[in-house]
Amino acid sequence: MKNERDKIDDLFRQKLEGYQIRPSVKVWNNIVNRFSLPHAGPFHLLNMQNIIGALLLAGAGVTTYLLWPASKVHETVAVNSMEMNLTYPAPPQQDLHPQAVYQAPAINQENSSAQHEHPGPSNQNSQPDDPPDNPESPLLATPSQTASEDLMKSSSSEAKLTEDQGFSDQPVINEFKSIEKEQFNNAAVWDDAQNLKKLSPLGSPFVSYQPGNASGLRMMDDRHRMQDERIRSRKADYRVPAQFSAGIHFLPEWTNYHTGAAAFQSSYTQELLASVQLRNIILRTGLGINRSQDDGNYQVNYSKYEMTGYYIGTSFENGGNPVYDSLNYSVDEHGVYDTVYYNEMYRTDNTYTYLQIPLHIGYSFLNDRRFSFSVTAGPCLSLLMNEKKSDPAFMDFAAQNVTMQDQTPVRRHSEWQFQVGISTRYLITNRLSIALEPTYRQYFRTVYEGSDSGWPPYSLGIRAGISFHF
Amino acid sequence: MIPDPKLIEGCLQGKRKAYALLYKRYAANMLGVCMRYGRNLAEAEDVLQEGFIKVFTNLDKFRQEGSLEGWIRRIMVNTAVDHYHKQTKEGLFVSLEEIKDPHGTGEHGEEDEDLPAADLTADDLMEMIQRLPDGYRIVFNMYAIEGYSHQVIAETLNISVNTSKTQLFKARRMLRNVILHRSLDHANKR
Repeated sequence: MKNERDKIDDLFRQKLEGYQIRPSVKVWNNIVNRFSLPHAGPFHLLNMQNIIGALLLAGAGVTTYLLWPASKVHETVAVNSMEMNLTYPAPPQQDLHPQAVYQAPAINQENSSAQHEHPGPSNQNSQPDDPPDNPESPLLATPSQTASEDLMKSSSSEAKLTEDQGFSDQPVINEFKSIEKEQFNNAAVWDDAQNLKKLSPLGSPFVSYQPGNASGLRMMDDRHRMQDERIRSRKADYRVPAQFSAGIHFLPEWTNYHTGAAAFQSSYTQELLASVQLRNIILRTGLGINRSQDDGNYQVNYSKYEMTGYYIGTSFENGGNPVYDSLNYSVDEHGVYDTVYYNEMYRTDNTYTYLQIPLHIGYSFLNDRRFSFSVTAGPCLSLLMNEKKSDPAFMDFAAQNVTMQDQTPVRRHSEWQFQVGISTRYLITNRLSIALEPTYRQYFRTVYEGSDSGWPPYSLGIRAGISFHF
Repeated sequence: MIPDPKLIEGCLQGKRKAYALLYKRYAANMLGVCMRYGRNLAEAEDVLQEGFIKVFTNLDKFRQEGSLEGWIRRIMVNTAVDHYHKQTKEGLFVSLEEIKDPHGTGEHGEEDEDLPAADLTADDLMEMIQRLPDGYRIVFNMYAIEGYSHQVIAETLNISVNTSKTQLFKARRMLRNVILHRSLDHANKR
């Protein structure tokens, strides 16, 4: 008998030891409300998630900074080409007038500025570093032809420039031309000039004008080679410059919290987003203020003194007749009153304000002149900044001993979410574009404190915005 | 995972997150305990709520000599006992005569038979315990599962040791009968 009893004890102990059930959210909420857990404010600056968010933002900022200068490469190339010509060494045996040395690069400045005004691959092809199969290429022409044609061009350009720039020291120009003619009559110098011209990425005709002897040109060879490599590498960047844009966006969303209350709650997010696009890759970040609606639950207890039933009272009278030979009966209904206790649930509308920090990576898969389509996805850190609760509108003036218990689930202070969207962008002008982006937001866990069970919420929304392209 | 002493330290410093983590760590286990002492989930959650408020209030009194879980569990058990003391003003513990055997097997049933408990799940057993009268349920839980002695149970419940033993005896008999009838029902259905 004793063993039988012990078997029952063992059976229950073994099977029920470690038995677990997840409590509902309201238990934690009641504890928070009754125990008065410390409210240090919804936003904790040194919260680990906040630090991670700040680091993400900083990382995005650094990335933006690193990509940002690439969009101005075309200007740098133009300036650099000018610098290259300006730094050519002066001929050792010639003592030229300083203005003569300065004028020659001014001719190239026209090429450089033209390149700046019409950037793009087509412009790259038009530069004179084509292979020398063009019959009109100066590389296939005879030295005398090339020199004379170039001199013709240069002299006309110089004349124009000197007039524009306000100095017309014609004797100095003539002196410079005569020196050049003399240099190009030397065959050895011509060979070096040819080699140098092949190396020159811009094929600048100015190279052929450089006065100096063969040894001087050989000394410049290495320097040109280095400059050539620098410019070629920059050309690659120049072809696909990074595009920087910033814009204001508005994102209405409908969120399903899986609470069994209203199926979808609305929320609105205003965002200031900056993005960088390099080739087809988009990096986007910024700040957003989100205002979310959710139900507040209040349990209202009260009592009322009211009719709980009735009884039928019967009375009779004889109508003043002293002889009781007839009686008039009357029946009355009388109410029975008592204190009745009520327990009702009220729903209110609460508003929660979040600071959101998205970090999205995207891929642009279709780029038209006006339209572009892209897919973006990435994490979003959401920090609870403020919550605005409204009291239930309990208006029963006959009620007594009214108590209200807030059973609204307490929200977490920080949340990680994952957002994905498909964006359609339309370029209104060269600088302005509008975008429309259906988005899906998946929360990693429930938004309520003390509850890890249940489905995490998700949102559907449409992000609309206008962006400025730098 | 943050160790318990760190959690306690955080709670004592008034950190809300420490309270939340402490609750999160032990709430599910403790609700399992409370379920054994309650009649249903709603009652068990009430006890859990009261218990955790006591835990948070008295956390500074925890001396860290034993495990935190054991300490919280004792608080939950005491809270459950208090809860039912308050609810039943006439007392938890009914005499043997007042309890009718719901399955009518009597005291001289098939006591020598083996207990057919192989197909019983934890949920089944929990349901059986919850159907016990309050006094039986509490004594059985404290003795058979928590491992308290009759002396401790008697002091906790403010009853005599003999009453504790009697309640346990009846609880065991009722549970045994329920298990046997359940197995008979299953056999008949097959």
